Amino acid sequence: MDSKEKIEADFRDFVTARSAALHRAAYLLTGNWATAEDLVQTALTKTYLAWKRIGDIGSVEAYARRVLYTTNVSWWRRMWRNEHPTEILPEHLGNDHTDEHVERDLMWRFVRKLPPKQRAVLVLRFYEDMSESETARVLGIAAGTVKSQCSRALSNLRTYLAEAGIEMAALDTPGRRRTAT
Amino acid sequence: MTRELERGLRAVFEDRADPVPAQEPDIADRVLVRAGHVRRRRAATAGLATAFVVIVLAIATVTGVLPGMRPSGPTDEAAGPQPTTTPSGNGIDALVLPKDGGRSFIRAADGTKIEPEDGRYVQQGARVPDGFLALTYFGGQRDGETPASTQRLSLYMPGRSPVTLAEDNNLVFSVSADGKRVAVMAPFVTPGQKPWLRVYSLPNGEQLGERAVPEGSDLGGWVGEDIVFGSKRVLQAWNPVSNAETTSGPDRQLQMFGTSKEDFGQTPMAKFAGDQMCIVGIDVRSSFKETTTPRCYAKTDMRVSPASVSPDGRWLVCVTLTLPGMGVAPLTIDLSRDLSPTDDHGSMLSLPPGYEMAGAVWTRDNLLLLVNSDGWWAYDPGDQSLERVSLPDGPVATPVPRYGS
Repeated sequence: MDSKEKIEADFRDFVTARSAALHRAAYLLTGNWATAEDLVQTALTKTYLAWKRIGDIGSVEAYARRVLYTTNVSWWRRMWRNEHPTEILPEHLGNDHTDEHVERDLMWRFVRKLPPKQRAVLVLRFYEDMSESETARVLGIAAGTVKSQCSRALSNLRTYLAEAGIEMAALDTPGRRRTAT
Repeated sequence: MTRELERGLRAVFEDRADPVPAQEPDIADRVLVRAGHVRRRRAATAGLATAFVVIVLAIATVTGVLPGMRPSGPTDEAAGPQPTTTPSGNGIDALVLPKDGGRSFIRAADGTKIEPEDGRYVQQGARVPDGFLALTYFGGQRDGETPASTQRLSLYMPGRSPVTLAEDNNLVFSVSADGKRVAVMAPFVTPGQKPWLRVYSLPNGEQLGERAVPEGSDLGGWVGEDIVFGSKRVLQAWNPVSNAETTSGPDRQLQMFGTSKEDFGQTPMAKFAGDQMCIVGIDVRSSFKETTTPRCYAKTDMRVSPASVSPDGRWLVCVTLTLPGMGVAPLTIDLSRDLSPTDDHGSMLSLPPGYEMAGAVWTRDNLLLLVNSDGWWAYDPGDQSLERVSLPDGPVATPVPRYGS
C-alpha cells in the first residue's frame, strides 16, 4: 500500500469511527442538522488536507475538533445566504406537550441566542467535558478567556431563564446518559 | 445555582444531540472528492502566481520598472490611492470577503463599491430595484457591544446617504419577490424587550407595520404581499397594510421554502407528517389549506433546507436531498407540473455532477448560480444549460441575490 492509499485508508477509518461524534458537536454549535453536516464535511476536508502535517494519528481528532469549532465561528461571521433557513426536522416532538420538554426547548433556544464563541465554550466544557485548558487549546484562546466567556455565557443563560420563570431542577432529570460514540 | 445550571446544560446538550440522524454512508468519499477539488484549485492558483512572478520579473528586466509602479516623480506622492473598479460580472453583484481579514463589502456588477460606515462589516446583502440592502455588524470590540451581535439593516442608494431601517440583536430579513417590501425580524432580543417584526416599503423606507412575534420565530418568506413567520408548530401569514392574518393550526407542521412571487394559492411548502416529509401546495390566505395532493418521501431520505423558489415561481431548489437511486445532490423541482406522486421522481432533476450550490441565489433571468472548482456558473433548469459567469473580485466573492426587476 503506497503512502496516499494508506492516508486514505486511515482517513476512512477515522471518519467511520468519529463522524457521529463530530456531527453531535456540530449540531450543538449550529442548531440544525443540515448545517452541521456541511460543517463536519468542511472540517473533515481541512483535516484530510492537513493529514501529513498533523503526523500523529492520535492528534487527528483534536485537530478536526479545533477546525470544527473555529470554522463555525468564521461561518457565523461570514453568513451571507439570502434566506435564513428555518429548522428542518422536528427531532424531539414526541414529548412536546410535557413541561419538561418545553423547558428544555426554551433552554436550547437560549443557548442558541448566545454569541458563537460563548456557545462553543459551553459545548466544549459541558458536552465534551473538557477542562478550561483543553478548551483553550481547541479554540486557540487563553484559559482566562475561556473562564470569562463561560462565566458570561452562564450569566446570560441565568438571566434568560429567570425571565422565563424556569427553575433549574426541571432541566436536570436524573438518569439521562450520553450515548457512547 | 451555577452547578444546577451546568447540570441542566449537560442534560439539554445530551438531549438535543442524541440521536444523530442516519449518516451518509459515503461521507469519506465525498470529503475526498472535495479535498481533490481544493488541491486542484490551490495548484492552479500557485501556477498562476508563479507565471505572474515570471512575467513581472521579465518586464522589470527589460524596462527597469515593475508593473504597477510608475517612475517616481513630483506628483506621485500627492496622488494617493487610486479608486479600484471591477468590470461587470454578467450582471452579478457580489459580497466580498477579503482574504486579508479586511472589512467585507458589496461590489455591484457595475464595479460600484458599497461599504458601510463606522467600520462595520457586511454580513448579508440583497439587490433591490433602487439599490442594495445590507445587514451589517460591528466587527471589533467596543464598550457595550459584542462583535456580531448588534446588527443594522440599511438601504444604500446611489448618490444618497444610507438609510438605517432597523438595528437590534440577531436580525433576520426577507425581501418580497418584487423588491418593494422588506420584512425585518428580531426573534431574540435583549432581556426586557419583546421580539418584533416590522415591514418597510422600498425604496422610501416607510414603515408599513409592526407587531410582536413569539421568541425564536423563524422568518419564512413572502407570499405575494403577506409575510409568513412562525415556529415548527404554527405558521402565520400577516399582511402589514390590512393587518389581516391567518394561522396554520397546530395539527400539522409546515415549512416555507422561501419567498414566492405571487399568491396563486399553491405556495410550495414542506409538510411533516409522521415519518414522512411531503411537498404540498398551500393557500396561505385560506388558513394554509392544502390545494394540491401532497407528494411524500421518507423523512430520513429528504432534507429541504436551505431551499428556494425561483423568482417566477416555477422552480423549487433544495440544496441537499437524498432520494432512492439518485444519491445525494442538489435538485430542482418543476412546480408547474403536477405535484401528485405519479412516479418516483416526478419533475425532479439532478444538478450537473461536480457542481455545488453554495446557497440558493437566482439571477434576474431565473438562472440558478452554481459553483465548482473552475468558478461560478449560471444554470438554467429549463434546458439544463450552463454558462460561465464572473463575479466582481473573483474568488473572495459570493453572489448577492436580486429581487424585483
